[in-house]
Amino acid sequence: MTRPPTQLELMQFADGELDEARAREIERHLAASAEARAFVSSIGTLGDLIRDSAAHHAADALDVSDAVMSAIDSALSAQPPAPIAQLDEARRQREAQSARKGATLLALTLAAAAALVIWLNVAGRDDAAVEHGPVAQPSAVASVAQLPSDEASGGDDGTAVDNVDFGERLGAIFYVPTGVKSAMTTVVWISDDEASQ
Amino acid sequence: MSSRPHTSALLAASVALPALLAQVSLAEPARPSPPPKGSASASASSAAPVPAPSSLAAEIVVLHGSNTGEGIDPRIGDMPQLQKPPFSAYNTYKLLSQSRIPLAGSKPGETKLPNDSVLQIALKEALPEGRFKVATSVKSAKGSSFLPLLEVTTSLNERFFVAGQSYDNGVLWVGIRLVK
Repeated sequence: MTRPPTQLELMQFADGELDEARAREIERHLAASAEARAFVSSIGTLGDLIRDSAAHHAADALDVSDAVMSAIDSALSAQPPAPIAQLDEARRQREAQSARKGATLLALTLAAAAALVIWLNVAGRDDAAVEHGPVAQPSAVASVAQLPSDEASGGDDGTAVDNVDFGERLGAIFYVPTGVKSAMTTVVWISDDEASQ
Repeated sequence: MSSRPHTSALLAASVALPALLAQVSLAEPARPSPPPKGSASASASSAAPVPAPSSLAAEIVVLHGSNTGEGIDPRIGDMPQLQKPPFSAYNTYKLLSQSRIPLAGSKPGETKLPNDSVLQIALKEALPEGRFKVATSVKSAKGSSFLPLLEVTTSLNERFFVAGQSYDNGVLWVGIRLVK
């Protein structure tokens, strides 16, 4: 009896990255599991959503997923190929590079899947918006000399997103390393569909 | 397969894994934030509400990201995040404004953004260990909701961003952090 696939394997399956034998096992599992089918299907749906978003923003080159891919491509291309002395060495390097690209794609798939799951989780919620009432007036916009450095930030706990309602829009949450210890900056990104309509 | 870590994989993983962790917290929206290391346990979170400092305010910085090749406004200061995705989708950042919204009790405060949308922010709860639960929303100038609701748990001086609103051939990045 074969072991049930993990979520990672389902993502790899959706991405066509599994070997044939394991892919066949997972196909059999999918035939029997509606939940697994829905998960794999959601991976494909996410791809469609990202492509739609990219199309909306193509004119302004505002697509975040493209930017992430671009940054990764840059990181890959920034490493000059080492001189190759032997055929075996060349083959080993090619396999290593292929494995690294596979790991990158897997991580990207994870990121995309995470964004989708978050979006799906919050899309159906009917949470009340921030309560409207008498509002405190902000102080006048200060003349800006320079923003305080993020090094002055608080502890390493970071900002945790407890609840988010993107409404009808597509959104994603990013945690960006600040470069200070293990601190992360939380970014909640919402696609501005109205601008492209 | 090589076991050597690779920059690009780590870069992507840095996006993926925290996002997955965030999903876990979304699945349990009522879950209190985890107690900090070395603190006493669950009983701390069930203790009496922590009074919020009366001088608490939200500092709002509005950045404009675009791809005009002009670089980063020196007034923004040292913000290495701008070199990393998703910030790095733009090569130009300008500081448009900086303001403070006093947070008196749970009464929401608001400020108008450069695209005439309105950012509203309210302190929901003061938590132990200097953490605060904050609710934010953004209404577009047309009255529709750009961001119906965002609730975060944050600390003093921890800046988080709400981004994505189109403005002047670029995008607004609204940085929010609680300050005293």
